[in-house]
Amino acid sequence: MRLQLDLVAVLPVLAPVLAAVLVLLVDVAVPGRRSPHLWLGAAGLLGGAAAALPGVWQPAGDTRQGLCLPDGWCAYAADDLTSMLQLGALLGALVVLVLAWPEWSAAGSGGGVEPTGRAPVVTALLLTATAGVVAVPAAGDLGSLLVSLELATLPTVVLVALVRTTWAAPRRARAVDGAVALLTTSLVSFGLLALGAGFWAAATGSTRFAGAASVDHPELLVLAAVLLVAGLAFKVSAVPFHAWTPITYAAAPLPVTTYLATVSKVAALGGLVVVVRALGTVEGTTLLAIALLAAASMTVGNLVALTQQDAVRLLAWSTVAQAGWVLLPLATLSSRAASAAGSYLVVYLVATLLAFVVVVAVAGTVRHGPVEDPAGPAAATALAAHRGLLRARPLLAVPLGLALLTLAGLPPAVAGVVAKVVALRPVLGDETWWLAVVAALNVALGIAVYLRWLVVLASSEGSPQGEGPAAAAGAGGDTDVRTTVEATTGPAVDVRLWVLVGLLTALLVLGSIVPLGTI
Amino acid sequence: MPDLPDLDWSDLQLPDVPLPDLPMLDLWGGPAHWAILATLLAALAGLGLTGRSNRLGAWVGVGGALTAVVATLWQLYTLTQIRGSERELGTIGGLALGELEAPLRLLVSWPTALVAVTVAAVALVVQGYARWYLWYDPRYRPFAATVSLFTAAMLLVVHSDDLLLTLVGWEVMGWCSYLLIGHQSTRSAAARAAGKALLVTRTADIGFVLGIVALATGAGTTRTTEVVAHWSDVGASPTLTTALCLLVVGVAGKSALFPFQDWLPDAMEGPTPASALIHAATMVAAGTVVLAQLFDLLVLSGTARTLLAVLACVTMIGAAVLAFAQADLKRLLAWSTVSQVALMLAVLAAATTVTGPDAALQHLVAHAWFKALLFLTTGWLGVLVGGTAMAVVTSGARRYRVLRHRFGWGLLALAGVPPFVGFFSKELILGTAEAGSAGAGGMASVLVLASVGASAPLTAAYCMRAWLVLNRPTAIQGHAAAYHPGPVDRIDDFFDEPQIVQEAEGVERAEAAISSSARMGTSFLMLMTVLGGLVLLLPVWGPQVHLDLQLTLATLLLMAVSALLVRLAAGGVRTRDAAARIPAAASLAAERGLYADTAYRALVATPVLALARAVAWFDDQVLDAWVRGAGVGARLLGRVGDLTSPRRATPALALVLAGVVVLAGIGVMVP
Repeated sequence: MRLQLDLVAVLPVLAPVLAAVLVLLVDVAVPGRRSPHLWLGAAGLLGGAAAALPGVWQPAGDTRQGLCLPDGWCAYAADDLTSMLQLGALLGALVVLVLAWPEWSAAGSGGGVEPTGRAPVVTALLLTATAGVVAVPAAGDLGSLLVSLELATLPTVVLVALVRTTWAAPRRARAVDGAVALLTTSLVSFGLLALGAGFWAAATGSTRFAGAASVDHPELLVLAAVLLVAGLAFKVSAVPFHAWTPITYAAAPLPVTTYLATVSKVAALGGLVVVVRALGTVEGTTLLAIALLAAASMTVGNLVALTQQDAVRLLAWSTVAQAGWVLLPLATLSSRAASAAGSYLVVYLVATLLAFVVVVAVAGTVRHGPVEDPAGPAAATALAAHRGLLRARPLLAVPLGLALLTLAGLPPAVAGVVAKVVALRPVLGDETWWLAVVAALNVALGIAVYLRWLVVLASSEGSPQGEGPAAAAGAGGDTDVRTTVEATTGPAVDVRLWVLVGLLTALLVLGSIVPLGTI
Repeated sequence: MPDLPDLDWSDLQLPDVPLPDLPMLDLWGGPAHWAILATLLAALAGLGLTGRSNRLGAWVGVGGALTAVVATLWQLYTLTQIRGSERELGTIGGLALGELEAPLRLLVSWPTALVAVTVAAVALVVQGYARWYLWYDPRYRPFAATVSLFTAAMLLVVHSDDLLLTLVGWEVMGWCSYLLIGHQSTRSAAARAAGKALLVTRTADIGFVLGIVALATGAGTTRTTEVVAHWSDVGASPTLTTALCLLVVGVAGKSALFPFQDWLPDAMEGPTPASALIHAATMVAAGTVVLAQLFDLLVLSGTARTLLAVLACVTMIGAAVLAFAQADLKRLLAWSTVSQVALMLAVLAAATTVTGPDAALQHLVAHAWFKALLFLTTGWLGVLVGGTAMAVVTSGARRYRVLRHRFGWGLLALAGVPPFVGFFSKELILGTAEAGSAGAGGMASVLVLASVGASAPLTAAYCMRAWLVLNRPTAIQGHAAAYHPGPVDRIDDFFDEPQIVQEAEGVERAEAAISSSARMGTSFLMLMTVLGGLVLLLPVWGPQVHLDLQLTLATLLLMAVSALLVRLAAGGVRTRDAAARIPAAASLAAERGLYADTAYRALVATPVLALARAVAWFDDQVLDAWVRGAGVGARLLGRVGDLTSPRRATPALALVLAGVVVLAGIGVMVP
């Protein structure tokens, strides 16, 4: 048996892996350096994105194939939707890398206890996880799917746990807690996935996804699909597989949280799309499970997000709710559903990345100095820290508002509106009315969730720091307050963050002018 | 009664006059376009372009009306040059309304063209008059613009061949009447009268709109001629009857028929030029125009005709009686308008296909001339004596002799005395009603004939009463009449006699008070109360009416008797006011319109407000409670979810496994 490799097609996966290997090699060759690893990582991600780019514009139906057997079947096949997801994942990972840059390139504490920092390790982990994420949507058989999914998950566990040694002990313990929650959930999910894969193979007689036109035991196939979906659902944080999400998000460093909230979802959705497409070719199957997951995720996510007082926790629960929206079109198993879910995910990706970048920027301005805030991250990411941001830092507040409106699906951010309409269209076309009603109710709930944050942004009371020195300054006159606000806005926002904010905002604005998914 | 020869109207009509063959100058659209657009643009310009200049505002208003007069006069000439004497014009092109066609066309025929001339001419006179009357009013410019808009709307209704255009003009007139009546908006009485006019007419408009919708949807088009043709082919049907009855209700509102009559006397709160416009040529007469356009349908439905006849007859008689008892000259004229408009509508109910609806339009034209004259003269007198209450205007026509002919001719025309214009139009009405009751008109015609016969002496009575009061000799004149100088032969200074001095002073003051253009306008109207008869005698009016001279003589005799009775009743009263003989309670009730306002409030306003409060309470306390509860509930649920969501890994795993079991169960069981 001769395997046809076709390395150019596989380059989106290969580039981050190569970069990871190079990072480790460089660390061996030139120990003690920190920033070259990050540059290498960025280059690897960019290279992957560049390799994925041509796939986005290929005509519908065409695929870029690699690792093919002589009989024509390929373990790797990327069509336009897959390429779009890969591109989103790679660029999202790049954003995360830039976000994490100052933290990862910083020297360790204690001058010699941790002389090299964590740069090579975390960079390599990020790259390998991203490679896994990129490989999942293109997987052609169960084996590739399982392996790439684990590749996408396990490094993130380490990323959560591997916090800076300068952090306070309780915080580090919490981070380990978060990592454990993620690890155990992922292991159980992997078990479910393996079980589902076994059933699938038993039902169709093959581990490949393509070509399962008819099956002997449809119940078995449905059971297999349910198990596969359940296994994947933890990664997209659908209720009831979401429980790790708030624990881990709140405990992990902000860039890693960003990674989990955005790039990781691409893997999950990619896997779901693969399963749904495979099921769609089989006659007469429906997947009520996905509809239930979507409805439950939206409702629970929005309801709980409504009561959160912390920006990161709110975003975590919003992720749960948005997972419901991503799953929503897939409940119909139609061919249009996959692309609808894909375009929703891309819009969600950009908006969430933007929100996280602004949260990181605001947290940076609130913290005095890089670290060592006794209150920990809680005070820096609390919603109260965003109070009056529209007055104090309009250039941060307006993009954040745009991101929130996109997530809520309110008009100035047309991209969000169109994404929601596109996601609802297959459901309406399928006449699954109960699901459409639940989705409509959740639109209202979601607006309430994000408007809460927006109101905080626009409110004029207090300084961005809430109960900081501004309040201590007491009842001074107008000028007093202004000077204290200026004094307490803390360090200026990093130029890299400004660039990210600008680029992501531009993407959202562009998406609102030429909405995705209308074609 | 001597046996009198029969007479046909055509015997009286003027012969056809050969007209000079002028070139037909139709520049950029027909004259109807010019008339409507000129007034409409004058309204817009009057609001937007005149800045703070009253002078410019007046020029714009008068200019617009003048253009309309010229255009409508030219339109008359063009009609003589057109075979068939009907002219169709397009406007902005058809509307795309799906299955419903809305070509939005205009139609000009002789009757409508003559009505249009009347409307435009009265509007011109009113504009010229308002220029004087409201010169020192800070809100003169909006007033002039509203008058222009009002005229445009009426001209649109007159020329319209599309129910949609009719509705547009109809509603615009409603709003304009609100603005004009409430012109002095700081006075609460004016604001209330304006609100009342709007609410009452708009309530009735519900019927008008529903009727139009029913007619148009049935015919599949909004073009009036096609609607008429369609329903005439269908013949009498319950749908048509319902639609026409609704339409009659709408017309009753705008034309102040019972039970909607009470808004019109209250509308006297508006400035006098506005009253003249509303009463003479526009608003209240619009219903007559619309029903005349739909006349061929009205004759098909006996129910609608009877409804119209009953409403009109009740109004005609009742309003004439109430007019007699009013203690204010303007209110007397207002009630007389209610009565006269009811007369126009009654003849529409009485007419048959043989006689046609033209008598109503002829009375509209005649009424426009003399009613505008009476209102404008009353306004003039009001300025001179400081009010229009009967006690104040006593002897007005004697003290200011320049008003004497204006009042005299106007009242004679109103009473229908030959040779004034009112005589001719009332003869036509009598003839039409008689032809109807003798022919196919049925009950409605008989009822109308009887009511018209009864209203003639009543009209004569209140006209006589007004005249006696206005024409009472002043004290000085009384003394002069009583004092007979002996046959002393001496050359006297003419101006020593106090009576002469008073008269000269009165003329001087009256002439000095008014502007020449306003005075010229009233002179023109006065002329038209005499010459207007010639307009009615033009050979262009529709089907012929047979005149019964016996009936004419009997009516005139009745009028004379009632006038004589009024004269007798007036004797011995200081102001020569025959109404002083009426008991105080009855007089008060009449002045308050028989407490119709109280009835409106008790029967309509109070229940509606109570219902509104109930609905608001329901909305606030029941529906909103659910909404508020949803907000609180969502928050509570969220808190519960937050508290119950696992904080550590172990319960999270349990949740995952439970979820898988449930999903797998559903996945296997359900399909």
